[in-house]
Amino acid sequence: MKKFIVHISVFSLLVTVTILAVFSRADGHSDQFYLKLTGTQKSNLILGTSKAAQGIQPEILKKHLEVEPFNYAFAIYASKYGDVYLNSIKSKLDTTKSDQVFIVTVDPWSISSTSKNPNDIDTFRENKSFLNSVKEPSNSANYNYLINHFEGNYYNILSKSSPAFLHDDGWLEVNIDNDSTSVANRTLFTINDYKKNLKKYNYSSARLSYLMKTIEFLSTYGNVYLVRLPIHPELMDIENTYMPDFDSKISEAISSSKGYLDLTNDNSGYHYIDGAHLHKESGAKISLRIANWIKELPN
Amino acid sequence: MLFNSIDFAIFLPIVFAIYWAINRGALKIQNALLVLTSYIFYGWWDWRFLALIIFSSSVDFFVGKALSKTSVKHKRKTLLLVSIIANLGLLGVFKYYDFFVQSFVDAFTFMGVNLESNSLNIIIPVGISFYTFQTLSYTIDVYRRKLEPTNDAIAFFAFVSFFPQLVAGPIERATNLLPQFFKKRHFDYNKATDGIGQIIWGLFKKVVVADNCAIIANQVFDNYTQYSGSALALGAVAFAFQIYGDFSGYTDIAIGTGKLFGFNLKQNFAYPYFSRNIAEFWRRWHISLTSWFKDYVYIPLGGSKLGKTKAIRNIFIVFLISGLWHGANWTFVFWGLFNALLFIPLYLANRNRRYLNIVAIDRYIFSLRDFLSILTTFCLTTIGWIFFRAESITIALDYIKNMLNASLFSMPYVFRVGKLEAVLVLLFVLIMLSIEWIGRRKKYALSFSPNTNLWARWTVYYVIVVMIFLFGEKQQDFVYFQF
Repeated sequence: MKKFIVHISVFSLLVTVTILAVFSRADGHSDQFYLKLTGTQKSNLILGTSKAAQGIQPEILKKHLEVEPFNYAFAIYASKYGDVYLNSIKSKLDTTKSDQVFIVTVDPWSISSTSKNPNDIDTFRENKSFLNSVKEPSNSANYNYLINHFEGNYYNILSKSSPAFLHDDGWLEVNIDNDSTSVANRTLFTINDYKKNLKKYNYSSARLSYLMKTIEFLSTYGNVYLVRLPIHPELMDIENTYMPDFDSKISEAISSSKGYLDLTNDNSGYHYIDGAHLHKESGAKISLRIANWIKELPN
Repeated sequence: MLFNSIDFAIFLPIVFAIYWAINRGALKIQNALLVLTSYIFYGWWDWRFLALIIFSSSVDFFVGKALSKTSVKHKRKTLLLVSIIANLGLLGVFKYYDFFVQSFVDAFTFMGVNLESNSLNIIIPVGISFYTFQTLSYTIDVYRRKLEPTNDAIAFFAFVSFFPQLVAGPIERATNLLPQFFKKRHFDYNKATDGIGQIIWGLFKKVVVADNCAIIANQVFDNYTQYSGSALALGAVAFAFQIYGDFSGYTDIAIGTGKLFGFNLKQNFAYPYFSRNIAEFWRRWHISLTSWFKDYVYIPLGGSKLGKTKAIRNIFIVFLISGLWHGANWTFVFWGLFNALLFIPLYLANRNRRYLNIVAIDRYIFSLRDFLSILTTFCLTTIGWIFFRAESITIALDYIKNMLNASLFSMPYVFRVGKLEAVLVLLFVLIMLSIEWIGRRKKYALSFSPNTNLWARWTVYYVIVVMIFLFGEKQQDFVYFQF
C-alpha cells in the first residue's frame, strides 16, 4: 500500500505541475473570454453579447475619444441584461474614475428570455454560465474559470491556433475563411438558427428593467451611449418580425442615456462573418462611426 | 456523480483511503462502507431515486431467502414472479409507461380516434435498466438453484448498488460478483496499478475520443437537413466512435475502479469494431447485456433447439427487447430489428459462430479479406447507429436518404468544426484503434504485464493523462446513463 501511495502521489504531483505550467500560458489565443475575467478592474466598458465583443474595437475608440475603453461583452447565453451581468459589471468596473464612456449595445435578444416565464430571473440561462460563477473577474489568474468554464480543450492554450484572438482591450478578433461560399454557408446556418430559436424567445420586462438598472449604475461614473449594431438584412427581418416595437420598448432606456445610435438602417453596408457578427473590417468602420457619433453629440 | 467530474476525482480517493484503512477490521464494515458510498454516489444525481434501489434490493433479498425455505414448485414460481413483477414493474412505470401510453394514443389517432393522453412525465432514474437486470439475475439464478441465496443483507445490498458499475454496467451476474463480497479482500499493488491504468484508458476513450467525436456527431445530427451526403456519413461515423468510446470508456473506468477495491468485474467490450460480421460484433459489444438476454430470454424461449423457425422468432424477440431496453422510443426498437435482420441470414447460413477468436489472433496484421469484412461490418453497424441516434424513424430514414446521393463523394464540411479539430478527432480515433489493435488479445488494450518496466508503464500513463487534460472535452454525460 505504501509503495502504491508513494507512486500515485509522485505521479499526481507531476500531472499537477504540468497542468499549472499549461495554465500559466493562457492568453488571448486560448479562449474567447478568459482574459476579460483576469487582470485589473477596467473603465469605459463596452457591453453586450458576442456581436459587440467582435464588432466594437476599443483601439479605434481610444484613438478618437481619448479614453481607454475595454470590451466587456461576452455571449448571448451569458451576457444578456440581467442580475448576473450587472453584478459582473459592478465587479469589473473601476469605480475610482469618473467621466467614463460606456457603450451599451442592445437588440431584441438582449431583453428577451428563453425561460418558460421570461420574467423569472431565477430561471435565466446565464445563472448557470461562467459569468455567474466567476465572482472576481479581476484576479491575476482565474483558476475557477480555467477549470470549470474554459471553452474547448486546453490544447488551445499551447497551440495558439484558434481563429479567434482576444486582445488585451477585450476585443475579440475573429479570422476565419472570408470567401463568399464560406460566408454564405455560415449565414445560412445563422438564419436557420434564428428561425429555429425564434419560438423559444419571449420579451422579458425583467431584462428591460435590468438594462435600466445597468444604465443607472453606469451613469454614476460617466455617460452611457446606447448602440444597436447592424446585422444581415435577412436576420433583421426576423428581428423585426419578432419584436417590431423594439425602439418603443427601450424608449425609457434611450431617454436615460446620452444618445441612441441605431445602425441597422444601414445593414447592407457592412460585411458579416456569419450574418450576425461583423467582419473585422466592418467592425473597424462601425467603431469609427460610433466614435465620431459620440464626439459629435453635445456634452 | 460522473466519472469524468471533479466530484468523482475527490470522492474516489477518499472512499479508497477509508476502505483500505478499515481493511484490518471486519469485512462487514467494508461492505457497509461500499453500500453507504454507493448510495452517496447515486444520490448525487437525485437522492429520491435511492428508494427504488433500496426497494428493488429488499424485494430480491427477501425473495431469495424465501426461495431457500421452500421446494414447492408453485410457491417458488410465485416468488420468482414477485421479483420479476417488482423489478420489471419499476422499469415499466419509470421508463416505459409514457412511451406505451403515447404509442397507444398515436395508434388510435392514426385510426381517426382522438384519445386524451395521461402521461406521467417522470424523469427516468439513472441506471434503472442496469441495476434491475443485475438484481433480477440473482433471483432467477437462485430459483434455478444455480446460486445459494444469501443471508448477508449488507453484502447483497452492496452487490446491487456497487458504485463503479451501478449506473451503466457491466451488468454483473450474482454468480460472479456476489461471492466477492463474502471474501476478505487484500490490497494488491499490481491489481491496483492495473486498475489505475484501466481508468486512465477509459477516461481517454471517453473524454478524448467520444466527447470530441460528439462535437461532430451532434452538429450533424441536430442539423442533418443542411448537410451534404459526405458530412452526414462523417456524422454517422463520428457517432459510431462516440458511442463506443463513451460506453466502453465508462466500462473501463468501472472495471478499473472495481480493481482498486479488490473486485473483478466482467469484461463488457472485446474490440467490437474489429468484428468480421454482425454475429461477432454482438459477441463483443455490451457482452454483459447480450449474455443476459441469451441466458434469461433466448435460452428459456428454447434458443435454437426447437427448430429454425422458432430460433428465428427467438432471435427477433431478443433483438427487439434489447432495442427497447436501450430506450423508450421506436428508434431503438427499429435498431434492434435492423440488427436482427443482419443477424438472421448469418444464422441461416450457419455462419453466426464462424468468428469466435479475435481477428488475426496469430498475426500482426489483418488480411485483405479480414479488412473488407471488418469494414463491411462497421458500415452496417454505423447505419444501425443512425436509427439509434436519430430522434425518430422518419428522421433516420431521411438522414440515410440524404446521405446516399452524389454529394456523398464531396468534401465534408461541418459547421463550427475547423480543419484542425477534424484532423485531431481523426487522430484520436486512430490512436485508440491502433492501441486496441496492438492490445486486442488482452482484456483491455492498455494493460501491461506486471513485469513491464515501471518507468515505461508510468511514462505511457503520463502521456495519456496529459492528452486527456489537453484534448479532453468538459464533463459530458455518458450516453448510456439515459438507459
